[in-house]
Amino acid sequence: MKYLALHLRARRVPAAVSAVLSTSACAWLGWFLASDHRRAGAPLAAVAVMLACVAASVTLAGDDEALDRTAAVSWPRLRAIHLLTAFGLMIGLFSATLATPVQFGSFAFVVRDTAGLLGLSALGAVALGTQRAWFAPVTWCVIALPFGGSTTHHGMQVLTWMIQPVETTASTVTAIVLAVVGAGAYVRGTTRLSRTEAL
Amino acid sequence: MRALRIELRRSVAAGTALLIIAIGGADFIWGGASVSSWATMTFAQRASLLLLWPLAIGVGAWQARRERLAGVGELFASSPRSPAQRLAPVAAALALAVTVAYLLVLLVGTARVWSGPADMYFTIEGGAAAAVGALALVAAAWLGLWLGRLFPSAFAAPVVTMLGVVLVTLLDELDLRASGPAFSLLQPSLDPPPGDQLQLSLGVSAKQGLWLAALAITAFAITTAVSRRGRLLALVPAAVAALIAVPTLPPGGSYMDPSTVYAQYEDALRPVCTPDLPKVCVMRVHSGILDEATGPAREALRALAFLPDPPTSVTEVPEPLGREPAEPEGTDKLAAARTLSMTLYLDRDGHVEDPELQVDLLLEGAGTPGCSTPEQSERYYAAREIVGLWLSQKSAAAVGESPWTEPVRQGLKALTALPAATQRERIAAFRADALRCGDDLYTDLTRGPA
Repeated sequence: MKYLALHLRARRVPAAVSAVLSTSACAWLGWFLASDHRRAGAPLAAVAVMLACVAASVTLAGDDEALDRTAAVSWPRLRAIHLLTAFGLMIGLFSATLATPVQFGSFAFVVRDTAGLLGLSALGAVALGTQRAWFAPVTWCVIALPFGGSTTHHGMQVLTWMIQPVETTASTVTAIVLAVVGAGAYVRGTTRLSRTEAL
Repeated sequence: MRALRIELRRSVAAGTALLIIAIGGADFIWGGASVSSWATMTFAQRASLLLLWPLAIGVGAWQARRERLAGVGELFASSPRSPAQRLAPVAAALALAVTVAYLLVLLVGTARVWSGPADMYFTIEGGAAAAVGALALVAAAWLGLWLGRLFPSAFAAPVVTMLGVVLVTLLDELDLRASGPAFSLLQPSLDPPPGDQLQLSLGVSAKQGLWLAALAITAFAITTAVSRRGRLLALVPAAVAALIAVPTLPPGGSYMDPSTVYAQYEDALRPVCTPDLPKVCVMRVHSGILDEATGPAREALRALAFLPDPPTSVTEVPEPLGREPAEPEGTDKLAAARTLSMTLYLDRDGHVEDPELQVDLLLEGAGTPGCSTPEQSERYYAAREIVGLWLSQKSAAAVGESPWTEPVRQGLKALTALPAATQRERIAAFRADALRCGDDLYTDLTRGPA
């Protein structure tokens, strides 16, 4: 129990959880006040999931990665558990909205977007460090959102996968690839040392 | 200068420049922007700011975390240098990076225009549109610096980026929903122009430039202000600029009105003609593709040559804008009878997209200008299409899908059942009637044998 508490604190989990809850609550409230539809629009749902994944990405490594590496712990297992727990909690949070006056997409939509965007964030953490991990999901969303809408063009379906209808195969495949590659790279590898923190 | 050099290396400036070049360049090259003239191209590049503007805000906010993260705020505050002096190098580095990146993308576009068939047309309006685009990115980066200071959190940068997207979208949406000035012009991204002879008007550029420059000054001043009074004073430039710019912006929703947002580019409209007869003219902005346009134009003239008093030349007219009536008032009918009007449809590289389509468009209605026909429009358009099909010697199978497909099929069948000489007489009668905007052109064609 003590180690769990220490792990959560070292990974800034409380701050991340409050960030997830506040951004999701803002999105929920915004749609509740602005729209008559019960199901929130795909862009809003995708942005809510994306911001939650950005918050989760901050917890993917501690402040001192170099120190962590010296510990005699099975890091791959710990990283896998950490990532899966984050995934499960986010699925829980967003599918809980299915019972509220505002729904963040269907269950399949929530699973696809959470898996893909969390994988993308993990990939960002591996490539750029946890501090800069947000570049990847935020940039992709900013590019994808203006092009929005459902389309039959496969390239566009891949580019805007997080806001496509769940039936489109190309978007599902993209999400699966991102999830598998991102989670694999994160579990097997190490996150890049952030230069600022290495000072 | 030394501080600036260090900041250029140590801040996110270089990464930002790469991001802008990558996204702006990709959007520009694959996004279908027009390359038919330089002034149109700088205008079209502004569309990429829809993505780049929010990202620049996020980058600024990210940069602002650095001092807090290093925990040197208190130490720096004890130094005799003012906050403005301390922020200047990093603000300058960001501004330089975004400006250079935006201009590099512009250079790529310029090379594309230069290698294409279009005339270059360096104009003040085109330069102003590009300058405002670069200025917008500077304002966004500095706005981000301020927001990053204001909310010193790791989540500030991603959240303000998304808020930037929301802001841009909301301003666009506001224009569609409400009357009043075009608030969407307060954000820098613009839809690409609908015609090659159009450019962003200098007045709109000036107002946008004023507003964005004031926004940048306010952002810088408010970030470095030390007292509450200083922060309030910092808001003055943005407030004054908004008071000047907003009431004088063109009305919202009239985005397609060429007299407000766009400026017709008179020099680009001047006709450039073939030296030999039959004369074919294009707008000067399309002078590079005069040869491509000549083929279809002369083919159409040949098809019409059997008529009494046939048209003898073709001249290009710009694509009509959204709200312009199909036929301007006071068109000289006799001149219109001699000269066919042609609208060129170009592909992404600035060449004629489909020569066959150009011929079909010229032959539709035997080259007569359109009439406004509130009643019987279905029969009117059907008649025009029948004549076009007959002249290009196409069968009823080539009839395109339209609300008047069935009348076209029937009419064409009735017409082709007549003796050949009568058919030609009918087409001539149609043309004479169509030039007067006669009542029942369809009957001209389809009434039984005389």
